[in-house]
Amino acid sequence: MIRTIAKVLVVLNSETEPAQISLAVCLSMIAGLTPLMSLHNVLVFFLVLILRVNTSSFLLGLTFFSLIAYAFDPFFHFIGYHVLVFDGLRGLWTSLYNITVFKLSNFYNSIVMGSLLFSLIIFIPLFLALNLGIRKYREHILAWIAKTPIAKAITASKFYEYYMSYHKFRGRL
Amino acid sequence: MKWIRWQGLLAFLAISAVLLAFWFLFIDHFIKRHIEKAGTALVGAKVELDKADLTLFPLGLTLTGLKVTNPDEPMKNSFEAARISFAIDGVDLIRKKYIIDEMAVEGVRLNTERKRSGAIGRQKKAESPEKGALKLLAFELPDLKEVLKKEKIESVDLIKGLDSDIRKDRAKFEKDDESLPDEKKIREYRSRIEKLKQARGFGGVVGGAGELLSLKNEIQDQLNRISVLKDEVGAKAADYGKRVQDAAAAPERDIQKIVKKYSITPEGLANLSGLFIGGKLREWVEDGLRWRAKINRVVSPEGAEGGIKVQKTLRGKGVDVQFPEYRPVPDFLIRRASVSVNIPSGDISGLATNITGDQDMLGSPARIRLSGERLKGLTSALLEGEMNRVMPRDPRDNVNFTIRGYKLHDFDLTQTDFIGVALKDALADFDVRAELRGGSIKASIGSSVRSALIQAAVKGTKNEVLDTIAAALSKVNAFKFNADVTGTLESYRLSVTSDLDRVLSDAAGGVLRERLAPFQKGVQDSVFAKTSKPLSELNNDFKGLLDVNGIVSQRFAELNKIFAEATKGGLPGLKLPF
Repeated sequence: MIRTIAKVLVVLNSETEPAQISLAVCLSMIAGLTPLMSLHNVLVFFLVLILRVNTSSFLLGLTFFSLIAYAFDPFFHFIGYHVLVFDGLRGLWTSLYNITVFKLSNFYNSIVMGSLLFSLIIFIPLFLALNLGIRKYREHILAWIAKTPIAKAITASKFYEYYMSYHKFRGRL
Repeated sequence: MKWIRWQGLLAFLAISAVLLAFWFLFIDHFIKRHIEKAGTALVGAKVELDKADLTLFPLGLTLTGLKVTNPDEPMKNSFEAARISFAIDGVDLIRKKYIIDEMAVEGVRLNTERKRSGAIGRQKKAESPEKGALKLLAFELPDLKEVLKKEKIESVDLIKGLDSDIRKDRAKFEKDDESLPDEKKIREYRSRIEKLKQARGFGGVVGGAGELLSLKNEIQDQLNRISVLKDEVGAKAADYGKRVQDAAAAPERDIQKIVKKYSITPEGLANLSGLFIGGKLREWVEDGLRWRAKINRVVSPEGAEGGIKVQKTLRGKGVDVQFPEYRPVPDFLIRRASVSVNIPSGDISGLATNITGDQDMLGSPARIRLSGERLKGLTSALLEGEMNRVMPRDPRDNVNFTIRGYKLHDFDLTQTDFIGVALKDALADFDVRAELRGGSIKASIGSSVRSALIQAAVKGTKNEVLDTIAAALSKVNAFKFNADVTGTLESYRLSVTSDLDRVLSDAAGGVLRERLAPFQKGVQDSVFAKTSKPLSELNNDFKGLLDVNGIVSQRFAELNKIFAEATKGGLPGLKLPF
């Protein structure tokens, strides 16, 4: 876990596209907040692997969202149950219920429905907010840290030079 | 920046392949664990499985060595099945429908010994009333003074309470009566009417008519008042009459209650066989009801909420809302299971059909029929059962079980700390008929036992009554009994009749009655001593109330008579226009 956190910090401080990190976190939110053994999570994992998103951020996000999901279960149940029993949507749910692939998705479970709906609704706002946040972090905080005497001393040292050479060499492997 | 990472596709395929291999390698173990866990939760005692084997082509499952612990006797298995195998419809399985057309349940054995306890911390069973009653036969009667000190004589309070009510009402009615016309007033009315009758001349007649009208109105008013009081006193007297009768019988009830609590009553004496056979029968009924409750969880539909079927799942996992299906199919269904039960006498085989929790969808009840003939030590056995949930609001269960020529050996009828009665050897026929409808049960268990060798042994200290009973039972070589079970599933009444009653009553009845007589008389004397004075006061006060009722009725009759005279017209030749 510490290794994953360190990797995320490295990625945050690197020149990786903010969107790669944000998308990874947003996908981890879907997989983490919804019950892990759900059909839609196969698609999420597929996207994580095939899209060039940051896997360390995804793994850290998955751990974080899975942990907080238990606290949110009553809330997800509330949303999901009311959406499922809402008269206006009954026809749609009934049609989906009679399609095998949707039946396998467990959409008719109140927590699956509630958590998936919640995740999808906040997916784009969270993606945009994280993008903005990472950019601001790099512009202000990282720039400020780089200007501090300690950071200057470290980056100017021979040890740092050797470490960076090793890091680049490892990255090529 | 390139967004697609093609090597990710390979990684996805590789991970999927690894997961699939992992699933294939460990699925048998997962199924085994799942069946053990779910079975244990359902039965309330350990359910173990030696092996589960899933085959993909054709899709099916074979379970080997299923053992289900008896929750009441954790060192025994209720049943063992050597092999259960079935094929399952793959297409339906994807749709989460477990449809099994054919299932084979082979090598079922009942009541087998276990090496290790299969208990999972069940509560101890409550002692049956029959065992409690047997204690009464065994022990000396308790000290009468202690009993009377401990027991509350409820009839005293009942009598005193009723007496107090009657006194209050009697005082009230007497007070009301004082404000009504008394004998003197009635005589006065009569004399006034007489005077008016004697009036002469035109003036006398006209003046008399006016006075007569006013007198009649006055009598009418009084009559109305007395009528109300008469009705009130009459109703109260009738009500109190019943309550006084009930209170008079209350001391006898107290006596019976105390005697019944501490000893065998005359009714109990006439039904001693129930004490020896009833315990075992109650165990059978309890076992039957317990298993029925477990099977009921399989064949009963889930609850509905807000017009949509809501299937409750575990806490924290939400609820599954079920929507109507275009082609309704039960979630779980075993259409046909052939069962082979291996008992010491040989094999009994048969069929179980339509096992599902969605009978309303299927339109057919779950049925079972097992039979066996010409077995070792058993002429024939037939079990037919039906659990009908086609109309979930009107659940009905029927069981018919017939056994002919069953050779019993070392069969315990009752085993208590004071006496043990067992059938060393016997041939028995059993007929069990049970019907459960809603929450009520109606069942009869009939049996005829012949060629019996009964072993009855008194345990512990010597006891005259039990010794006599044991000796009488040892001489019996044939008997019949019939038990009726009626009531609700939570509280039913088991009544046993048997020709053993006469044998036991003749043998032990005299001794028991002799022991019981002084205790019963002591209780009687004490209760009557405490209740006779309050009862006598109650009778006096009630008599007083009846007197008030008599007086009021008499006044009403007299006044009514006078009113009739006044209405008829008191003056000669003059008919009043009212």
